[in-house]
Amino acid sequence: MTNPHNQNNDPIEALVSDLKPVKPVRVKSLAVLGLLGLLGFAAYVLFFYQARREIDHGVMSTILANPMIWLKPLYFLVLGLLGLTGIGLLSRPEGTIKGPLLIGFMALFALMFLAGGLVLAFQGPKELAHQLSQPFVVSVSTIFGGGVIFLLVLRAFWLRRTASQWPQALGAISGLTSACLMSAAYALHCPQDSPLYLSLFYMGPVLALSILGAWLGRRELKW
Amino acid sequence: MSLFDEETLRALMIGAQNGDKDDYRDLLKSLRPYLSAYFQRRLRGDRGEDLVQVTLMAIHLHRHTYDPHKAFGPWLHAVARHKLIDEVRKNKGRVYVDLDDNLPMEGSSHDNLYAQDLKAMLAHLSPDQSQMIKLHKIEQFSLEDIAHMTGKSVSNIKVLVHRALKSMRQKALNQDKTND
Repeated sequence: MTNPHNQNNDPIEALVSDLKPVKPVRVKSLAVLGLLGLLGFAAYVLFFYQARREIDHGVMSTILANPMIWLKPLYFLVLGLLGLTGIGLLSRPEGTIKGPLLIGFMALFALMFLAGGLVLAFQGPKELAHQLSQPFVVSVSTIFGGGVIFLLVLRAFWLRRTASQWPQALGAISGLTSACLMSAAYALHCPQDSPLYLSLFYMGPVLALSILGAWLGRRELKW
Repeated sequence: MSLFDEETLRALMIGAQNGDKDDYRDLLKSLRPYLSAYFQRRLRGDRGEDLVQVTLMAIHLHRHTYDPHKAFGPWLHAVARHKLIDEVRKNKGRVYVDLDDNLPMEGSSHDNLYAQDLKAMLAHLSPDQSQMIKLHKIEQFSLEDIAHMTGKSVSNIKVLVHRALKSMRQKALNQDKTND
């Protein structure tokens, strides 16, 4: 029989004696988490803020009258789904983000800032002043606040089980995803459709949460 | 059996995830010499052995991140590489390169002569350029790994390597002309 004292001195035996069955991390759980987050945000927005009035007229008629009513939440939903895919990829040691996903992110960001830039270029500082006079505090605080809550949920149920070679990027993309899911839900209520408004008061909190996520990732996701 | 048998190790890892202690013991015992060789190819001294222990611990703590439907090799290499990069980073990007400090004596091996030439060439480079040549051309780290270790961008590293090689080539040409 092996002497247990010797076993403890052997690192391999020490690890073996500490072995317990583990559930491998599954991307499916992340998808469920994302879906629950989105539904939770949508329920919160529709209950406390209510949907924008035009939505009552039905999907088809609003698409024809003002496509932005649906394109706006769709844009952030797609960005959020890309973000969830990125989190899933980066969560394992061998995971990286390359190719189509990276192009997708860049294309969507470019689209938003290009549209915002064009509005600013053609309509000038007057439009900027007009957008700044809009009640943006609720937009910014809801997206940022909701994003922080989802980031904390992600941290509790997913991120702490990850082992990424790129902890800072994983944190950043988690922050971005959280804010985008909240933005998609908030867009169901918000009547502001100007690309300049979206670039400033939707993308602002999205970028802020990405930076916060990157900071958290650097601090907490190292292994 | 070679040091790395993908199918066997994968089966053992799946067993370990399910809590089978015998499979886990076999897995760790099989990985130890493989990791030891992996690190010794890249580092000198006792650091390789320390890294083996650190990597075995990382495998233990993060075994749930292995996807049983995928190959085991890429997962293992990613864990080992991550720990290696950490180690290099802790040493501020320094890696040990076998360069003999003694002047080449009559009958020295070609390797020593090459090492002396290389050392002389590196001495003429800036510290950044010299570090990049050591990491990229001698230690064979990828540009992405070096970016990870040093915090420089890949394009910056490419520029440093390019300029270093150009400078070394020029130095070698000048040396040849002087010798002629």
